[in-house]
Amino acid sequence: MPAAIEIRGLKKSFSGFTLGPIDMTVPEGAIYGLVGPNGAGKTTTIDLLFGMGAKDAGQIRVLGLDHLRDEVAMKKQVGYVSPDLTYSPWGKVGRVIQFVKGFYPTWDDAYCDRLLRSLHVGTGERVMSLSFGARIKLSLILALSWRPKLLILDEPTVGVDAISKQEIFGELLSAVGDGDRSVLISSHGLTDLERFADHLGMIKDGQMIFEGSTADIIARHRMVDFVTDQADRITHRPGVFVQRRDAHRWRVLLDLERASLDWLRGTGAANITETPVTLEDLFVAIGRE
Amino acid sequence: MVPRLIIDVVRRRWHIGAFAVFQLHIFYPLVAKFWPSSAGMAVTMCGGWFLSMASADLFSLRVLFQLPVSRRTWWLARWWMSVVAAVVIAQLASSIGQWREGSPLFGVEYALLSLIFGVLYCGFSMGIRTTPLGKSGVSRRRSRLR
Repeated sequence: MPAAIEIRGLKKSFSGFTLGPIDMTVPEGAIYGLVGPNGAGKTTTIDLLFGMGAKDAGQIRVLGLDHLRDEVAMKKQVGYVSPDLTYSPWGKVGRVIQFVKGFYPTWDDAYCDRLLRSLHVGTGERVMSLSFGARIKLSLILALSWRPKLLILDEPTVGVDAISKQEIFGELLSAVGDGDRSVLISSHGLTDLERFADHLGMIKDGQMIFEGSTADIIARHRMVDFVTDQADRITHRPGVFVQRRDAHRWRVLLDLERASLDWLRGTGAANITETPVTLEDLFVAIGRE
Repeated sequence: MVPRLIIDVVRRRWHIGAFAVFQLHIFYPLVAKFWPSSAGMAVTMCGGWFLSMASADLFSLRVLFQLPVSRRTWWLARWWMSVVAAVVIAQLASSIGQWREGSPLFGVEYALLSLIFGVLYCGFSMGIRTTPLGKSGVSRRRSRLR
């Protein structure tokens, strides 16, 4: 499958933080969830993709285009939604729309009007007086109205109420419903991602921990409770993420590709019970490690 | 795309330019009291420099970096606004000040000379400030709920 975003060996160092080298692949037509704890490097990755800041090493290709050499052609196909986008200098919503519209020949006025109505944003409203959720909606409207091939959303639902979140995801899903468009969502809304994202990547401390289809990642991990006194054999095994330990009773997250249940039984562990994991279990378990 | 970006900034911030002309032209007689022969150039260069610094951030909005505009276009728009427009505003104020004070230096030749010096002075400082585009171009993100 061709890639909507292909990142290879991306590296960027700041004082006190190093991103990468990371590899990341967003397949074409996929809804890709980029998750990770605060300060993991998610937004930095997206910023570098847009050429905001110079990378130290690596390659970024977006829809087959080099993100710097072909930056204008790339940006003509990539929509961006983020709470960091400040439209208040333009005053009213209508003026923001007029300004942004001028840059995109594919702008669809009828679609923009429909989005404004369905997301309850008025063109006469002042951007400053919009609620936090409404500003995200405005950002989404501006990104969707010209029908980009790739949509990048950086924390689109942070600080947004449940109804607005539903509206945002509803419009997003109907926009990408034809399957031709790809979406990259960096989000902490793990339940939303679990429902919508068909691919996942998790970044922690600037490193990509895992990447793949959501179903595979969930299927590959198990939450396992057991009893053992072989602490050394458990804690030093790659793919074992200890969640809780009360004397000899353990609760661990197992990455079955690196530490199987058979291996666990082989260590002498008893009373083994396994439960499927949610994305949140995974996020917390790996983030805590 | 450069004119589009410039027109947008002028539309959003024309009132600040008008206010700067008003402020600087009031400032002119004060400078002329101490340096009668070079007051016009001093107001143009100093006023232009301050306006240049103040207007540089007009193009540092993250919104602009998502638009299909090359970094070169962005840099050019910023240069025109932060150097040429800033110096022209300061020169306008200076010329109004000279005219109101009845200065013998009021005229096209002196204004052109001031403009050239102002553009060189502000252009040089702006060039230094904006050359490492990727590093200083974008205002840093503010922390959010994360």
